[in-house]
Amino acid sequence: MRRREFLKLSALGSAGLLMSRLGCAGAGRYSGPTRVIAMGVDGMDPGLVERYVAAGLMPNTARLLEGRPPVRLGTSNPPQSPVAWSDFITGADASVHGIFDFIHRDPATMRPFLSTSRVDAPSRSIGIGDHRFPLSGGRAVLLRRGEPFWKPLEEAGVPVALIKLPVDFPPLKGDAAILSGLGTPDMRGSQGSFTYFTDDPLMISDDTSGGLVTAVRDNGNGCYDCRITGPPNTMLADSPLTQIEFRVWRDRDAAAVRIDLPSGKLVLAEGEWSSWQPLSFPLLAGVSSARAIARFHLASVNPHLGLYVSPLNIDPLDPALPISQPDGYSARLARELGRFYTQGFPEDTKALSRGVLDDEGYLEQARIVLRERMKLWERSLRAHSTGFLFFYFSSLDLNVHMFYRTIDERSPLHGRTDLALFGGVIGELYSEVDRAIGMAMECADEHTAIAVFSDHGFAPFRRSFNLNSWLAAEGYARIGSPFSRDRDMFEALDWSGTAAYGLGLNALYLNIRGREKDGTIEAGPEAERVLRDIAQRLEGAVDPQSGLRIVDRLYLASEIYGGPLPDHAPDAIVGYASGFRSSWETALGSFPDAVIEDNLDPWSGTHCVSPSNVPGTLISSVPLGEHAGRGLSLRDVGVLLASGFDPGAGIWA
Amino acid sequence: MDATAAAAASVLRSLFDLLLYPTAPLSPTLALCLVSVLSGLAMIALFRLASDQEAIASVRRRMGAEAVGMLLYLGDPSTVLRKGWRLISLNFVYLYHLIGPMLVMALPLLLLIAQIGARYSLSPPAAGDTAVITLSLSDPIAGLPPVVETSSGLRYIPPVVLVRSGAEASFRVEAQPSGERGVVVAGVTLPSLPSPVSPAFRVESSGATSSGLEALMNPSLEHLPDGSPISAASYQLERSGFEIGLGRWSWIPVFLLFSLLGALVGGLLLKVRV
Repeated sequence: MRRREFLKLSALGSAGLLMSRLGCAGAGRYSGPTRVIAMGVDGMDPGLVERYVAAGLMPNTARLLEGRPPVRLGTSNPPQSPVAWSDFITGADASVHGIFDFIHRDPATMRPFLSTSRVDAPSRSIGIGDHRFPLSGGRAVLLRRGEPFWKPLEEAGVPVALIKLPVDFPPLKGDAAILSGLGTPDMRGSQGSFTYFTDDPLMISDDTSGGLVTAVRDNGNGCYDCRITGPPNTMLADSPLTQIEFRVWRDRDAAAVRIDLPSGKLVLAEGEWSSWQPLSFPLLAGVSSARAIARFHLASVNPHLGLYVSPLNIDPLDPALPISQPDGYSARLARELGRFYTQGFPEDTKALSRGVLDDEGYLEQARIVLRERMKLWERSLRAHSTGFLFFYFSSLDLNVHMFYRTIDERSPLHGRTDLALFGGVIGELYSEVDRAIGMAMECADEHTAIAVFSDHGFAPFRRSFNLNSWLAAEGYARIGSPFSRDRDMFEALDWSGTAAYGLGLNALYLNIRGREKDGTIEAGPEAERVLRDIAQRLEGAVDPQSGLRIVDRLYLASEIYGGPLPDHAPDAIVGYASGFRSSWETALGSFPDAVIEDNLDPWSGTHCVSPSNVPGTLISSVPLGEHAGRGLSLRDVGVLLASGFDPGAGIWA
Repeated sequence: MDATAAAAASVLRSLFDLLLYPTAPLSPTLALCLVSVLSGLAMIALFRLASDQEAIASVRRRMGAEAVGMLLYLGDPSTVLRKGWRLISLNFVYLYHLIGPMLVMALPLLLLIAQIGARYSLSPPAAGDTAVITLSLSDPIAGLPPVVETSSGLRYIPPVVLVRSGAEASFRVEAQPSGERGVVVAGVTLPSLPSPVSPAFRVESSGATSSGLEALMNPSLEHLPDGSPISAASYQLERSGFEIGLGRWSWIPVFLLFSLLGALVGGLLLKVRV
């Protein structure tokens, strides 16, 4: 029996045993003393934990470890957060939960879609003139499948709270208190789309990735008329985008602005961030509106105005889409703690990548997110004093992505980063996570088990590999319109001469006849031959600059996943070597001229490489005993944590 | 006229301050519910005094009789039609008897709603909250912005932003855990910012104006001294919400519900015929 099979069987066995024991234990509410606090820290790297523990930045973690090294936790393949957290939730791989990447494509139309959820407009409506009155409700659909590990706990009456749970938008119905985390969209339906108003002509571009840069002009007296674009208005024919108009008054001498919003006035000095501002996008005048919240940041006043507006978050006080279970849970939290970021990726990494925010502005925003999260964490520890509490921290992952260049001396951006100011950022973040661990330890008693774990670790992202360009160069893809190489979604491709293409960060697809819209390869032996041929060449490809191998291994989907695969599944997963990753352009289906180039994006750390390069971390207050030696993976963690409530055995039995 | 109205507004505000003084220690939600119930009681008592109770009772009896008559003679369409016509006529008589008391009640009701709204519609800033104060200036400022001073309950957050070519100035203050919440701008003392200690009692100072008539119907506005370089000032405060049952409500539905409840109870106790 292979190790993976053994672990799968033991996990299933534990789950079955747990269900039967908990089922026997009670039809009523759980009354046992056990409390399990699970901290899901996205991107916590075991190597960096060891480094910062040794440096004295993580004293609480050091106490938990008691001299042991953190357990290296096997991650998902590919090691992307939506895939990894789905592995954790279901205790199974992507063949069960159906999440293979951040984005999938519909092979019949070749249109991309977000892998974790979708929002459907009302299916039936009555039209009167330009108006559309819905007869059925619109709905958000969770695309993750599989049974979550906490179901047996719910059935046994154990109180379960899952705060900022990834890949659970909209939240599953049940007894558990859930606040959706990673995967929750903003009000425009994206994963976070900022708006930047400026009169600086050099900033204006038609690039819409991550947000919109909107040109505004001084109408005289330092007055600017601005418009924020909101969600589409499904109550009008053709669903035009809603808009809110507001006015900005610039005072050059004071280096500040007054913003006259429909909800009131706001004063901001240069460099400042506002509190959450409610924005109400009208759908049907005086009758219906979509509520959103946003933060404003005055990036610059002189010589040019630069006003950043955060992605339009769903208002937790009055959510337009379901973000919590029960429905009123988010409003209760917001009334108690104030409004908070509800979008899945709260740190605006795209704004930093696009140069809309500088390092300082971005870091201040990231600190706001972390402060909000710590308040929520403190409240969760207080409010959920029994049963199972899972809490998700996103800050480490997104900020390490952006500041890995500060600890990676070989990063092309290392020398261009102000290390005096930002050199200690990652250490500070680990120190904050350690403070959160300390808060959990403070409220723990002898019946409490604390587990801190991550979905993956981190690797440097120095060189950007254009997989699609490589496929074209090697003859697996044919460029039909060379002038469209930079355009997304394969506009440059001649499908009739294409055998394979890349989409997403690690996925490689064959152009299969009968599955893809214009397929050319027969499924079966021909497909397998082409895949093995690509694998051989890709694994042999080297970076001409350093002579290093770019790809550790091309994992064939049929070999790494356990069950039958849906049509949207990739045919192979590219396991990049440390230091390399697919380019952003490849992720969206374009074909830049260069096959490999320096990564000059502040997004300088990655985990979208071969899983063995980025193991996750597991730290437990209870000795893991024999589990530690088995080579635990993230898939085992949910069942392991739930076993803490097994009345017939001790914690982690 | 303006001065008289301003004086009346001041008297009214003082009167309501006094009447509502006992609710100061209560939570804002409880205080609003209590004030609403008492308002309903007062209004129904006023209705009793202002109305001809005998006449209303008599009309209602006759209306009842006509309705019963229609039911008894359902088989005789001409009788049903005749009684139906009488019932409609009696409805007009009934409305006629209501018009007088309604007119008597209108002004006190408007003033009551204005006074209660001024105290409960806005939340005083809690410690750490920021409020924006906007001034309209009599003479636009071309040079330095006005000097802002605050007392210990507020912290001034610079800068002052001058807009509309210096005709308006806006700045922020942050509420502190304790202390007076006074603001002095360019030597002019503005009305104090509401205190969080007794929100039911002191929320009236959400703005300032120089119009006395406005102040009568909007008690949240206060007079600024004559000849002030500031023609108007406004404090931007959050709308308040009251958690009752499963929801969070603004003050108006809470007031309407509980004053109706008070009126119903008062009607039963005082045997008022409405």
